[in-house]
Order: sequence, then C-alpha cells, then structure tokens
Amino acid sequence: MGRILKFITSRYGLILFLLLSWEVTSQWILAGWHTQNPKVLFPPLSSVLKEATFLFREKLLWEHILASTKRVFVGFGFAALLAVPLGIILSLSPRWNWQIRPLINIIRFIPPVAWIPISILWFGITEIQQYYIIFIGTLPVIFLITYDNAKRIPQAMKKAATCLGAGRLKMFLRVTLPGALEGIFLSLRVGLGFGWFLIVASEFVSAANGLGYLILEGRNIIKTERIFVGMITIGLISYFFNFVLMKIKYCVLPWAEKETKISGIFESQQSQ
Amino acid sequence: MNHKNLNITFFFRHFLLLTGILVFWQIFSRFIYPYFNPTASNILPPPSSILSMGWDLFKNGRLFVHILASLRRIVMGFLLAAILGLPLGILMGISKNIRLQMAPLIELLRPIPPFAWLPLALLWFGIGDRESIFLIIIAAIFPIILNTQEGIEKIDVRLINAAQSLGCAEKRRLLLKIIFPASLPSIFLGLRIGLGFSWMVLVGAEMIGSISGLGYLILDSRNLGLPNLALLGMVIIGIIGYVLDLGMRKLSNLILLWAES
Repeated sequence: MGRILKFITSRYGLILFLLLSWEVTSQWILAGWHTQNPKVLFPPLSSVLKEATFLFREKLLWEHILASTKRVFVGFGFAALLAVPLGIILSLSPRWNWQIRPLINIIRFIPPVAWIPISILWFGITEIQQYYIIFIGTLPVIFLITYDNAKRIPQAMKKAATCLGAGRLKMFLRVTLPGALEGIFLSLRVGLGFGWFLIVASEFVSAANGLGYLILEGRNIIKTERIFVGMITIGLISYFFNFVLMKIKYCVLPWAEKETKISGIFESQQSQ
Repeated sequence: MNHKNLNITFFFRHFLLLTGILVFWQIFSRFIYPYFNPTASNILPPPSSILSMGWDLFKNGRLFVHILASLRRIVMGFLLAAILGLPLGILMGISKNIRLQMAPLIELLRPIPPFAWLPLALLWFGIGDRESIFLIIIAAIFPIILNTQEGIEKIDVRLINAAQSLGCAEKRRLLLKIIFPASLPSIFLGLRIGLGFSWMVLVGAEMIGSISGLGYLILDSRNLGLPNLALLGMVIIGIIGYVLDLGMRKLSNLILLWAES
C-alpha cells in the first residue's frame, strides 16, 4: 500500500495536486469573490464530472463523438488514399516530384483553417465541406512523411535487389513498400492526430453537431462545464486512436522499433 | 546566355504544372464557367481578379491594418510561449523529478487541440488580443517544451564528462557552457514547429473571436460574398507563414553555424 502511494505521489503527485486545487479554488476560494459569477468562468471539477455523466446518460455525447469521428475518418481516409501512393510514386520519380512539389508546398503553407471560408462558399455548410477541410489539412502531412521515409530506403538495398535479379514490380513489392511501411504508419498516425486537431475549428464555424459544436454550444449557452467536457473528450479520443494505430503497427510490423512514448501531432512537422 | 538557358530548364522542370494549372484556372473561370452559367455568381474567381483585389486593398491600406494586427499577436504570443516554455523544458531536461511530475500533466493537456481552448479563452479574456495570445501560447508551448527537454536528454554524456574533467564542475557553468549550446539545435526545431502551429491557430482564433487580423478578413469576405478576397487572404496568410518559417530557419542557421542542417 505504502509503495503504491509512493509511486502515485512520485509520478502523479503534481497532477493530483492540481486537480485538487482546481476543485478547491473554484468551489471555495473563487466563490468568495462576488464581482462576477466565478463558477461560470471556472467551474469546479465535480460539476464538470456531473455534466459529463449527464451528457453521457442522455446519449448526447455519443452522438457528437460519432459525428466528429465520421468526419475525421472520411476526410483523413481520402487524404491517405491520395497521399500515400503519391508519396511513394514521387519518391521514385524525381521528374514528377519537381513538378508536384510546388503544389504541395503551396497547400502546406496555407493553414487548413484558412480554407474554411472559401470551402463554405464552394460547398455550402455541408458534410462535404467538413471532409474537405480535414482532407486538405492532412494531405500534405501524410504526403511529406511518407515521401521522406520512402526516400530514406538505403540505395544499397535497391542495388542488392537489382543484383539478385529483381524486376521493377518485385523491387516495388519486396523492397520499396516494406521499407516505406513504417514511415507510412507514422504518417497516418500524425495525419489522424492532425485531423482531430482540425475538426474542432471546422465544427466551430460550420456544423450543427460534433464535439467542436458541443464546445461552442457550451460557450453560447454559458455552460462552461460543457466546454470542459468537450475538450477532455476530444483529447481522450485523439489519444485513443493514436494508441490504436500504434498497436496495429506493432502487429503488422513486428520488426519496427518500439517507441517509448506515444507521440502526438506535434511531431508532424519535424520531418518536413 | 548559358545561365539564362539554365533558368528556363529549371522553370520547366519545377513550375510547368503549376503554371499550367494557373492558366487553366484563369481561362476556366474567366470564360468557360460564365459561358455555361451566365447568371451564377462566380465562386471560383480567376487569378487576375484576386490580383486586382490585392492591388485595391494595397492602395487603400486596409490590408496592412489586418496584417499588422495578426503580426502583433503572433509576435507577442510566440515570445510569451518561448519565455514560458524554454525554462520549463530545460528544467524538465535536467531534473528527473520535475520530468516525472510534469510528464503526465503534459501528456494530458497535449492531445487537446488548441482550438478547443478557444471558447474558454473567449470566456476568460473576451474578444481581442489577449484571447488570441492565450491560444498561441497553448499551441506553441508544447513543441517548445518537449523539444527542449528532448534536446537536453539526448546530449552526449561524454561531452558532460569531458567538461567536468576539464574543470567545469559548477552546475551553473555546465548549464550555460555545455548543456544549453548542445541542446540549441533541438530547441530551434521546437521553436520552428511552435511558430508554424501558432500561425495556424491564430488564423482560426481570429476567424471566431476577433474583429481584426487576417483570419477575420477571410471569414468576413465569406460573409460579404467576396471569394476573391477570401482567396487573396489565403495567399497572404500562406506567404506570411512561409516567411515566418524561413526567418526561423535562417536565424537558426545563423546561430547554429556548427550544427548540421
């Protein structure tokens, strides 16, 4: 028992302390101020949990989660279907790479949220517009990581395969694809994380359901607990999918190196 | 002559497709689309109309107001994020206890998209600069902290051992002379990633909770039904994002002469 307590305090001491002081601050200390309603600005942890159970019981949370997940996965799926083959093909053909690279760079440097207004003009406030934002945002991320990793396959391996009599098709299936697979998984993981990152902004502007909408609704009806519930839910979900993709990677690619920590979206631009 | 020739082949190699797309876009939205839909408003304005829109806004100076508003926010927010994030990252890098305590907290907060903080920021700070600056800090601080920490963790132990045996035993001196310079490449990487993220988040923040800035400009152009203004805003946002990234890269190359890029 004492050992467990020691482990918890050594590892999670700060977090427990912060959660406790969150509760205490907003329940008792801020409540002493009468100028504004402090519980609206900073609701205690207990009322956030109460709101979460309410939303969960009423099946509202579930609905919003499903709506957001569908949008993220459709947009991300189309982006992956286009970007992964493109990344591999362009890593093999410098001529096409020179031509297509400027286009990708243009898309990359325009923040995906900046597409929101023009995409609303193009598609209206529809599901397609949401898919488009996720698509255009995750496309360059997936492409660039796939490309970089496919490019990093050692030339010696390709030469060895040629010496051993591999034709173009065999080379692709036996050398290029397996070599790029780990990079593809990384790119999918980062891209999916980025999709979750974007869906919030996209749903703020133009949606009638989804977790981003839930958060904005919490603000509009001045129910701050709801904002917190939405934020925490979206964090947990993006963490969950990251975890699932990593587990899949270990099943499919047993030779891949174990990553010590679950990395998130912020690694997305390291390889660019 | 030879030099000029080289430039032309370079152009054909790299920008043939891009030029083709631009030309096709101009012809399509100028002639083909209006021919088939004569009454419809043109939702895909040709590049020429984007340019003329840009020229108009440039002449009456409205563009600079928005650009300056956005730049002010990103500079202030990013500097604050660096001031907060660098010491935290360094502390987490050199002290195991602090790292163990901070890691779960950061892992908890990091998956929350910065945009999700926006309603809270609006509630706490109201519409204006402070709300965008808060969001920029949230967006930029995690890459800065994590890369700084990682940079320090990955320092070659032999460097520290060598410094210690050469008489640099004092902790403060070790930190200033060895640990900080050795982790600088990673720190700069973190700053660069953070800057990119904060530019993106700023645009989103301005779209929802602001009455100035480039993000506001493009959302407003949608409300006004001016697609060429929206596209112009996107181009300007893209160019500024590129220039910020380039500036950060040049700065790091200037400071990190010894490091491999």
